[in-house]
Amino acid sequence: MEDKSSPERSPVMEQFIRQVDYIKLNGFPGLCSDLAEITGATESLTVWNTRQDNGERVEPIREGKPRDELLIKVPFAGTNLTIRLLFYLQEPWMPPDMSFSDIHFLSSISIKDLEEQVPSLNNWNCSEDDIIAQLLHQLLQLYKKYQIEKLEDDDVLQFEYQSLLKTLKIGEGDIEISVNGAGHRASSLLVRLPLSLQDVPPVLVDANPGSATSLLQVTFQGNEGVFVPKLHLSPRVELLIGGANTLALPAVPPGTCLMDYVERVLELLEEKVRKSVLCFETRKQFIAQVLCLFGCAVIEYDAERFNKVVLLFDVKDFHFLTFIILGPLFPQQQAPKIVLQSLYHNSPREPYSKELTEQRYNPQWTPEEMVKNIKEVILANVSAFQQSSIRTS
Amino acid sequence: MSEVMAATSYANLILESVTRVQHMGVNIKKVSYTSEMSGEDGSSGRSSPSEAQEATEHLENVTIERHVPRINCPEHIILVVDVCKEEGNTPYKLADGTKFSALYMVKRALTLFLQNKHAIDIRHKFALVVLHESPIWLHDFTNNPKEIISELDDIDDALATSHCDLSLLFDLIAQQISLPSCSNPAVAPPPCVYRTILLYGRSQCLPQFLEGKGVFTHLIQSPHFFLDVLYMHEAPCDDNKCEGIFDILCGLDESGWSYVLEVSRNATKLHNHCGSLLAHPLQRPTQKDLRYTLGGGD
Repeated sequence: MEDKSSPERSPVMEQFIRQVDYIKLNGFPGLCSDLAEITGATESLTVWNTRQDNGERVEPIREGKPRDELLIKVPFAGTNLTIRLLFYLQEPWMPPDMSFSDIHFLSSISIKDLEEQVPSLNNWNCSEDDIIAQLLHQLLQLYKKYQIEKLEDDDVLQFEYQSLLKTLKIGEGDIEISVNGAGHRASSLLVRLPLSLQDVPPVLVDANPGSATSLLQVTFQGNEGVFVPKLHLSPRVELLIGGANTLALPAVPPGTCLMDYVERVLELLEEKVRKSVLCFETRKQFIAQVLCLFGCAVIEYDAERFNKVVLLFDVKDFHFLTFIILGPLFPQQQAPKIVLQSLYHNSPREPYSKELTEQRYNPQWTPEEMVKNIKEVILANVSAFQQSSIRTS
Repeated sequence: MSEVMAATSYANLILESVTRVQHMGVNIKKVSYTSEMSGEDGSSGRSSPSEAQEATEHLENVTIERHVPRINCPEHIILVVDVCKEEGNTPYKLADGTKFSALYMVKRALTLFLQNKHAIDIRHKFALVVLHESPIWLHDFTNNPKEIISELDDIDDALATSHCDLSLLFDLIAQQISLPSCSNPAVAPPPCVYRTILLYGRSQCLPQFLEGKGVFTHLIQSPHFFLDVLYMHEAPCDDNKCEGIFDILCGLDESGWSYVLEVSRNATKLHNHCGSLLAHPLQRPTQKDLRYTLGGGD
């Protein structure tokens, strides 16, 4: 978009670029705004304006240079709505011309709709940085309204929509619905699940400061209520419970009620969150127990995520380091990893170390029992470790 | 779930508790040193067992609290290696009879220290200062231990100088580092802490602040600056000043949180001390509270 090769840009162009940057920085409208894109116009766009409903081609009408056009692809309800805005930078006080990938939408809009629902067109203040962003937001709201009006022709979908709102106790801003036209693409909806991370210890999600959004996309097939689900999770949520594609969604046998299914998915996600938090709390308790017993021998421990503790021990005047590491599957599926490491011998470029792999382990043990067991394992192995560290160096 | 919450509260209590430590009016490090020395060489014993006991009973006087959260933030460690070789300097003798110079043993022990510290957390950084006539900043902070080890390998010992000016050392350190400034250091975890480990090797030369202690005092007052000392010396006798030097080095511990360790040509003990020095200053116990013994009966 920005013409970086030209030595000078007019103030109008500078303002235009600021307005585009504003959108990129502050986000696009819509539930799946992370996947929205904004680019300059390309030749392929002329396709929209060249076909009418009866399929006849018309000549594309394009005025101004290509860089005065903006293509904004906004994900909506599992499909995409592309908005094309054509600016007249020689007359910056003029609002842009608009066209949409959903050609029925444009034909459904009345002047009254535009006046009432897209007020930025009438009050086009080209000197405001957020004016294009406001326009996009208003257009998307209008599109949403258009889709909801289409729902009146589809009783089943209307019922699903209302049920979702009521049962999940969410607002209209949390659902996007795209109702199919006759013979066109399938209906789909996108719902923002009310999955809260507010009780999650911040350290588990702070590495990713974005929003914590969980979206369930549902695409309907045929007329018998059969649907295909897909999960989208924001990076902050994925950091906590794993990638969306690693979470196995429940199967959808014929006759599944959408409402029940969505509730099951929400429960699945809530359970995952609970488990992640529980793992963290268990690690914390384990480390606390280690410190309780061996605080006078502590070298260092992970005081944020409680993944690791390093101790220094002396057994019959033989000093050595002990690393105790808690993996992501601790405690249920993974024992603490115990590694002894030498203070005296290299092998050759690193201190000699040995992982103690043969240990009894019961995930049902209390932290106290686990730590007691670790002490026994170390005592049982230290002599062999001492011998092999001397031999190997 | 309520059991989990109770256990979590207990864990929080242990992890977040302010460590209340009792610190002697008399310097515990000195007492342990002198009582040990009187064990090794009866003629040099300056303190009697009862003096040690009296000092120990003094324990309940002063309480120290931590003033920084117990977070394992990255450490920036300044290794200060004394390369002065005095006349009459004796080597380390191992059990099989082989001998190694004091500087060689320091290099070996530091190599293992660097490798182990890096294995604990790759974020820790190391700088190298060589202490001779005046201190030289040999290598700036790096988290690659190989760079420091390589520099260490190239160091040779040098003729001992007549004095050791600690003012110059701490001036140099103050110039090279930038102490974190936290608005509320008792609560806010610092981005890093600085720790100087002074490895002093002379038995005849008393280290002194020839140009005043101003810079040193400024550094040591920061809750994010730590000083540890490892004193490697000849066997104390009437002909050397080991005890006096050790007194001075112990006196550098103004906060109560330093480790001041000493060893006399015992290679194992040298390496053990380097192990103790691996401990993170924000999380480790005070020197007095160290208990490494792992007994079967505990």
